[in-house]
Amino acid sequence: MSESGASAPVAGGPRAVEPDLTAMRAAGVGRVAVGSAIAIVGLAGARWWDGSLGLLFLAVGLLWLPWSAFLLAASSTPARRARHWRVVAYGGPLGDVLIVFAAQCLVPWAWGILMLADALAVSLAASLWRPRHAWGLLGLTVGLTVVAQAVVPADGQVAIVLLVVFALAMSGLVVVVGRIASDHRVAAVNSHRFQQKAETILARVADSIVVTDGSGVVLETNPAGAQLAGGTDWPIVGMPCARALGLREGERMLDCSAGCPLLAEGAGEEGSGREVWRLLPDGRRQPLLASVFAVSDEQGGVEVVHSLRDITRLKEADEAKTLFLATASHELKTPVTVIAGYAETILRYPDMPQERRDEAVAAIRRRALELSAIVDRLLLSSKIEGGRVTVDVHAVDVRGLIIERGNAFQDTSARHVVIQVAHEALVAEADPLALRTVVDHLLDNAAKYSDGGPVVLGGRRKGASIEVSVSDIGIGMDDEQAGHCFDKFWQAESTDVRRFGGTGIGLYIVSSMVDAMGGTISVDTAVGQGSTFTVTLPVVTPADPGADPGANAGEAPPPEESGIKDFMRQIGVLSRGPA
Amino acid sequence: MSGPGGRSNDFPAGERPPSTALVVDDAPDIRLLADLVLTMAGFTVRAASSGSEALRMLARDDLPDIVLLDVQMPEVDGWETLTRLRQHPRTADLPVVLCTVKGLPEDTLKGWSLGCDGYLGKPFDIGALVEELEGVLRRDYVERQALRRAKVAELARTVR
Repeated sequence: MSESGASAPVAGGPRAVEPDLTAMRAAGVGRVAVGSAIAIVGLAGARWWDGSLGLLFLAVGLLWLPWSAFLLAASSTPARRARHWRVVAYGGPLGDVLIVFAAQCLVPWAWGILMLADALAVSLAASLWRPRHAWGLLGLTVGLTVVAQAVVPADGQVAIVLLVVFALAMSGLVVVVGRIASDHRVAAVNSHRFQQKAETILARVADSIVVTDGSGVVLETNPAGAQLAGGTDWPIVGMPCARALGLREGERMLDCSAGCPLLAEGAGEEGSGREVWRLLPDGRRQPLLASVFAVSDEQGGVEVVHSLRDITRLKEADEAKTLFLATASHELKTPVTVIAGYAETILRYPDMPQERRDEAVAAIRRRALELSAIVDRLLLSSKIEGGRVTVDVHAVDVRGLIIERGNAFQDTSARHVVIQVAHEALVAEADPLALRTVVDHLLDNAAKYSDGGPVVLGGRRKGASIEVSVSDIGIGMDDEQAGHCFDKFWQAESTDVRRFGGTGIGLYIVSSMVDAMGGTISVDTAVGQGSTFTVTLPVVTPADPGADPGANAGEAPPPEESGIKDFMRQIGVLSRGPA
Repeated sequence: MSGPGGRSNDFPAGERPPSTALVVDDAPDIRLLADLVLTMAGFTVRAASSGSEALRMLARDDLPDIVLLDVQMPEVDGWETLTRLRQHPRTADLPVVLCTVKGLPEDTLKGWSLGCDGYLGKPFDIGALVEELEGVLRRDYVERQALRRAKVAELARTVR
């Protein structure tokens, strides 16, 4: 007898979460059919052929059936299938041999009893497996009994009748027990799976989920919820919601003891989360988006599910954007005021003194250039945000670039720029245009935040890097300001008393450009002590075949650099520019 | 300070007694622009580059007839300057026109609530600048108070 068909659902056990009912059904039905066929052949053989040959067939058939039944029962759950498949596979044939001996030793009608017992086993197993088919299988049992009645000698017929009664009673019992067991098993498997899935989802979701009863006592939370309430070890289950979470809306403390106020105010409806906040241990406010809905528990009471999402970053971005709009409108409106005002004045007073007219024209020109620079910066920043900035990294003569930009800035800004650059060649992997933008912006920034003092522009080699630094002796920044200064739209001052103009995107552009070139930027500063911004770029040593101190914008990069560029494109630092 | 009431777009100099204006703005070219425009309109113009400088001048020198005050300025901003002017008996009645890029209803409301007598958005039309200043100078104290109350009531409805 082949075991390959039987082992399929068994071996598949440990991996599959759900019993593979289709495969089991096919295997089980096949086995029952084959077993019945062999048993019937054996029955016929015992009647009309040689008795011992018939009994042998019969025994084979009878053993096949309980083996199948045991297989079905033993593989009813994933765990059982994993545990019992060896017993199922090897224990069956061993039992065969014993029963063959027993059958041959018994009185002539023994095969009839064995057949009935086997039919019972079939219906038992099949009922457990598929309760819906239990009545059909019971019918098979009864049919086989009738056949047995016909072929058994008269002295065995009393026993047959007793067995039929017993079989009917047992079959009924089997059907009932089988159905109950089967329903329970399916329900247990499903609920276990569902629970596991729900727990996984709740544990992984970043939102904090806190479930309370109707009076606001916390019943359960997911890990994020526990975290929110002060760390994973903090047992908030059993605490009142207000104390556990400390949520406030506006200046009002939310108190759930008389029913959840958020629920009452409709925070659960689609897309209508409420903004609440809580005080963090360090005194900051943590904004949260709360949505709340009620579910009925098993006893018909109400449980309230709170879903809280930390929107700190969203709020920060939102505030930065609002601030940006305010500062940008100021930055744009001031030059427009000057340009429009002077233009109108010139038109209105054609015979204005030449001196005033020159002043007016100069102011218009200066403010128009300023406006254009602001617009350029806005466009560049939007390009950076959209990932559309392309840098072309190759060997760049940093020393030459520093000297050129330092002098150019000194000429245009009338500020003293101290250039402290090493005598050796400084060649770095960079994009000349991007590096120029970086240096210009840093010089601009340094001049803006230092009142007329000198700006120091330095360049040196340090190990495998080239450092470009810009220092001022201006107002400097505290630690918090230094931590934010590369953020978009961030400015050291953001009230009506701000001393310095600007849109707050200069340093954002600088740090984005440096990132794109594969360098790093840092700031060393203290309040009142000025600031030093240092850009670090990978060095190109003079021994490198690609190094060319004269290399500058527009030159094709040497082949050695293409690997780095490809890598940067791959990791998305570079967008794909024209080759 | 009552002007002749003629169309201010023409602002013929010399038809009325010259008024003195103090222009307070941190942007030098805006100070110069206001100086130019107001001088052409017959004002005598003084200028201050910050709120603190303006407060020093107003405490020390002769009072001007009107103050043109920017809002966003370093250290002492326009709001603060206006508040201090209104607190001091010497300058409590001094006409002040705010001139700022802050044009939102809440900003305007803040200005009128703090006690300004005119509110001019930047960028401004130079005719409108002169008109605004002359308009304020034409009103007497009682009229200016009434306008302030009306503006606050009107803007409070918008901001709500």
